[in-house]
Amino acid sequence: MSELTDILQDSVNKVLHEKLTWDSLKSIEENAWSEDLWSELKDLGLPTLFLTEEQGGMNASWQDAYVVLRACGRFAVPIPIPEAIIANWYAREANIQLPDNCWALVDEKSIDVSAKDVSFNDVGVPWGRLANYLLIIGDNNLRVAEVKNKSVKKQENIGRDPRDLITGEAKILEEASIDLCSNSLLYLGALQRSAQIAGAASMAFDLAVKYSGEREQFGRSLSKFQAIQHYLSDLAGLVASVDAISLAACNTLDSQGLRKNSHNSLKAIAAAKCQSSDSVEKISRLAHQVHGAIGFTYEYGLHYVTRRLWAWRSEFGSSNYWGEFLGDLALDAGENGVWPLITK
Amino acid sequence: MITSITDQIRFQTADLPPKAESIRTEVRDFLELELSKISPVKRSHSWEAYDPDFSAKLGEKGFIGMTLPTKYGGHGKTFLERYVVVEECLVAGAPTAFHWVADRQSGQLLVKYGTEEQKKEIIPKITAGKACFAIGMSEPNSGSDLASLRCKAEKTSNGWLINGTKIWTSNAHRADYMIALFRTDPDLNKKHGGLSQFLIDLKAANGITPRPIKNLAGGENFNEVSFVDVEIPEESLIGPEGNGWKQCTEELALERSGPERYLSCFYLLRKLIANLKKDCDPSVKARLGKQIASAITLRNMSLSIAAQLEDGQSPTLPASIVKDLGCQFEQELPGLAQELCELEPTMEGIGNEYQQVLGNLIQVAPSFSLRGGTPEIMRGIIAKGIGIR
Ligand SMILES: Cc1cc2nc3c(=O)[nH]c(=O)nc-3n(C[C@H](O)[C@H](O)[C@H](O)COP(=O)(O)OP(=O)(O)OC[C@H]3O[C@@H](n4cnc5c(N)ncnc54)[C@H](O)[C@@H]3O)c2cc1C
Repeated sequence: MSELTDILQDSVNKVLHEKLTWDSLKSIEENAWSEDLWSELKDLGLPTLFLTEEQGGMNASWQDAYVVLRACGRFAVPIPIPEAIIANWYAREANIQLPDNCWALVDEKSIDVSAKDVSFNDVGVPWGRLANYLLIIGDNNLRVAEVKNKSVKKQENIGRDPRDLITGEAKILEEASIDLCSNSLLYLGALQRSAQIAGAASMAFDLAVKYSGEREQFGRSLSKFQAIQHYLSDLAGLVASVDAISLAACNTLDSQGLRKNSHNSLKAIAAAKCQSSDSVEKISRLAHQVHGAIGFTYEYGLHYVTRRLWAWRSEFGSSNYWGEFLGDLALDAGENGVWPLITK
Repeated sequence: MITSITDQIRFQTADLPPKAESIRTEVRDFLELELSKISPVKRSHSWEAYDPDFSAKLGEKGFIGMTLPTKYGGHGKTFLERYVVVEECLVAGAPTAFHWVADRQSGQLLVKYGTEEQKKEIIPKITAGKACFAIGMSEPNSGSDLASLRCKAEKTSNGWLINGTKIWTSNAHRADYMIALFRTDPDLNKKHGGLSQFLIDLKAANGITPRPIKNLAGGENFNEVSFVDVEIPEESLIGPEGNGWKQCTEELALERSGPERYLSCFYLLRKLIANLKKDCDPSVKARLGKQIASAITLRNMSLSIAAQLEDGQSPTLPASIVKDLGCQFEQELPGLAQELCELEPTMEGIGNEYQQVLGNLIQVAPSFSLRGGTPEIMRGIIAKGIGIR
């Protein structure tokens, strides 16, 4: 752990804890945006943490970014800070400066880039309604485009985070080449979601432990019942394992990059998303079970994290999707290659 | 909540230092040569398969007692170097039961609490792979509630007199030594405080009768061991009188933190992969891949614990968590194999290698969640660790 990791861990958790109370989450959910939160987190330098110092950032590693992404999950950050963090990682890779508020990431394959002005039709973009720029990710290049006109089909995932479909045209402002694996956006999205799942899961667990100590039935607190203790111990293991594998994937990415031959990074990300998506079912089920009916209410805020856990579980590849990916690797490796596959 | 309970159970990613990693090839080459003649069933369940010849060869290579001090014939290596040897042995399906307990816990216990003479006499045998140890903890009426045990040791003019019965004692019928927990203070109110640990030379003592108990798979590994007026010398007491529970807990920590808690039937996963077609159904691949993801996750967590141990920390809570998760992982493997592959499990000598391995492991898998403490007990420990018990 670097010094930066520690600083980020403390400062980010503190700010998010203050800002994202259940009341504020409720109000942001009603308005689908908080300019106030966005500018505060921007002032902290979170979206640009990956940028080099010359570019005005912190030159963060993935391990550093992990604590922020996880905190975003833990406090159910309802604005595209994680997306902006990843956009700026691309900017560092391509050595370009992005316009302010350029965080909407789209895959080149979903855009018609044949002309100078690109057009897009029903492209899924988180918070697309607010996107003034697009960062278009290709296999070998990166394009920054300014949205000229757009129509928006507003929709949300079950976490109530905007997952809009946008149609319109944009003008290319800049184009740069990048040397990354194909489908890099899928891998980074999967890693981002794994980190967010780790964070949200930790909150679900903490809430369950706290509640079990406060609520009494049969004359004692729920936490004194062995069945409840076992649920919570089970939860502790699942939450710790999601955290461990997501952090490990960040480490691998730091040491091996995301180039065409970075096989270990791809495998580590696949394992992280497979494991985290798979664990969500039990984590959310147990956290809710410990809470009884109160956890099923809108007023009690467990749902801010569990609804997101359910949504993130499916985004950027389900556990089956990444399981198949890993299954193929294992079958290719064969009986003598599978252990090296696990240890590398 | 700003801080999370999970801050106490964070598994920092650890990498093996080059010094440890560099042993791997040597271990693999040695195992490849030695294991080719060993039957699939024996290889299927690595740390329960008994083979004195293999253990002696492994000892000759310097792969047993690696962390024990050189002063007593140990190799003075790091925990991480030992970690590599242990995981390679498990994955290869090496029969390690003869030296397993000695290498993992008894040697370390003796170094910490044994007399100078015991160390000089026994540690060299351990590192040579020529000393088999048994663990005498469980009794007929004391399983999970170990501290209720009744087997007693009474002080005599020149030693101790032992009476009582131990049960489920693995290898007691063929081991050289047993490290046993006996009650030295008959006052049952002093439940934990009345217990002490003893080193027993099984080849020298009279009045000890081990009776092998056949397990459901037909194997005879564990025993009922009766002690009738067994006289053992004064210096058999290990550590201070009344300190047995604490020492046992330290031993159990070693028992619960190693890679064997998720790798004890990894050999089956390898054989399963050899028996699935590369173009098998996507749902089969996905299920296999999930198991790979879990294995990668557990390897990361297990290695993180090894690094913490090397660092001088005592990660009790993380170790309990990995044991619990690891045990679920490996107990699930035989059933999973049966779901994914149509080949039936078979008895030894019938069917292909995979089928024999599977046939044995399906039968022994129920024991995975018993030895070294059950999940129910582990979860109680975790509950304590997270502050709710
Ligand atoms: C293959 C094998 C090898 C072994 N080798 C050795 C050895 O070498 N030396 C040795 O000393 N022992 C050995 N054991 C014994 C092992 O440590 C015990 O089986 C284990 O501690 C459980 O004790 P028990 O079998 O008496 O079950 P019990 O304690 O009777 O438990 C039965 C069931 O009840 C549950 N239970 C018990 N108490 C509680 C509680 N408080 N709350 C909730 N659930 C509870 C248990 O989890 C379990 O599911 C071995 C066991 C096996 C299977």
